[in-house]
Amino acid sequence: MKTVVPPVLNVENLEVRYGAVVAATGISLTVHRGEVVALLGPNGAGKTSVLHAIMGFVKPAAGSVSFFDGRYVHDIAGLEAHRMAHLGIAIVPSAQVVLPRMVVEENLEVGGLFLLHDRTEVHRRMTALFERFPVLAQRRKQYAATLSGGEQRQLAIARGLMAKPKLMLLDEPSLGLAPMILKEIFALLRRINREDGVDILIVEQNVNKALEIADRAYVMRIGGIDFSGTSAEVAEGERLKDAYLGT
Amino acid sequence: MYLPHLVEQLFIGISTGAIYAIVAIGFNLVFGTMNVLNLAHGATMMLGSYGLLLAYYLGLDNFWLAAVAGIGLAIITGLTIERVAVRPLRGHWWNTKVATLGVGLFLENLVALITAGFPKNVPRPFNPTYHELFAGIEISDVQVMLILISISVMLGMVAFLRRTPAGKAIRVLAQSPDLARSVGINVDRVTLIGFGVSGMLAGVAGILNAMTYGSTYPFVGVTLGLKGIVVLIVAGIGNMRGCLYVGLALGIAETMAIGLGGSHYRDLIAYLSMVLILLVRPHGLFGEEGRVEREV
Repeated sequence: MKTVVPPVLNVENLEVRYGAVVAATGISLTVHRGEVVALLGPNGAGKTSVLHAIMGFVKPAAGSVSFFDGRYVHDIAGLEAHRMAHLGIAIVPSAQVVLPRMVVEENLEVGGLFLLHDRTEVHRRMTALFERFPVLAQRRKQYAATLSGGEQRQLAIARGLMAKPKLMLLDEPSLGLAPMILKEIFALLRRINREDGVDILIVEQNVNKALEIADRAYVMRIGGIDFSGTSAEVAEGERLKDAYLGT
Repeated sequence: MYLPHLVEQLFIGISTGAIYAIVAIGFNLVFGTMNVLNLAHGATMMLGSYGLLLAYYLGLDNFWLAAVAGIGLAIITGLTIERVAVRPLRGHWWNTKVATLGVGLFLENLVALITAGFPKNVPRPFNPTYHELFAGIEISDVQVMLILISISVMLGMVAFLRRTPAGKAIRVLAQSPDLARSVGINVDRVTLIGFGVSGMLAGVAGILNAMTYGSTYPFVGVTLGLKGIVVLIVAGIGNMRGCLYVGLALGIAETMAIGLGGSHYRDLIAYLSMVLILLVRPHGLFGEEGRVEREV
């Protein structure tokens, strides 16, 4: 008999409301072990609302969200964000990605300080990540506000890796980045997925870049999921254009 | 007016200014980090000094232990304010201001009612003796102690914020509440800790102030709290070091004004300089926006 491995993230019929306004409804999506999944859609489709509800920044109005940490399935719908972090879900936000008034080193330390509960482990992880991100190592004593956009994004991703998460949620990692830098960041995400075994859900407006690294994608349109499929299916289908052009 | 007298005023100014700085840092801790202007901070200072008196009244005949009791009362007050007047109104900027103002007024009038509103003498750890430094300049040992305590409190705060996980959590929260959550910080708990530490600073400031004047009264926190807000605004919200510099500067300016002109100029200096500085630098001397403006 074949044992069925539960998906790492399973969202069913999620609804997000801000007062009377429904930002997203009937959202179902899954992230399986080893996958990079993209949630795509034009501005205002409700992607970020869905992500915020999964992250615990907004309480979902309806639906279920579960997370499988490799041993247990946790019901995380409406769970406070800091508890999710303790379960092994890392969040890389889009707007303020780093702590501007702390130096690079502290920014990294903060990623593990409240999750690992062991100073030596925190420092071991920091050393390992500085080896992996030489740019950050060079700037370890600099205030994070002085880093370039790409470096800040790297720092945010490195911070997310500090506590060895199972799942990483990224909100618009391409935001404000130059194409060259973008390429690096997305390659980095792919490597993290392959080498560190971190499953990734990424919300993106930059469809082409996201589809290059994603295994599967969901495309949203005005508050609901319009269609989904493997990245190749989504990229070739006519419906993607429809979703973006609103036809 | 002669030089030794001015130097003596300078020492008084430093010790007064250090108290202002501690008051402002207490405000800053909850304002700069949790965006709550705790208008019961002055009342918390007052309770610190009355906690000390209460400990004496209950038979504790040791200044330092009584001071610890007073600070303890102030910490409890800070924690209670968070639970009663802040947490239920989370995120409501005006509501928390009104609620904490209400708590402050209630506490001040409660103490006034119990003590019939008269100023009370506060015992000192020892009677001040004056020592001549040089050229006729005298300084009292109480003043030296006030300055030393203030310096250690501020160094302690810096160490707390820079070195301890709780301090770091407070600094992360100040920069981004969402980011704080995403790295596993329990924002509710850290907010409570922030109010506790702020209450402790209020208690220390209240007791140092009572030691300076040798007495306290139920509304002592009103003026002192207002001075703290002046320092906070002039320094720029969110900046601890700025509070220290501006607090000291205000204390020195005030005592110099007293030395040169008379005590009625004291408050004029504080509020006039606030208005003038804000006209030139609306975000304060060390404020965040100001920092950005300088760099651009």
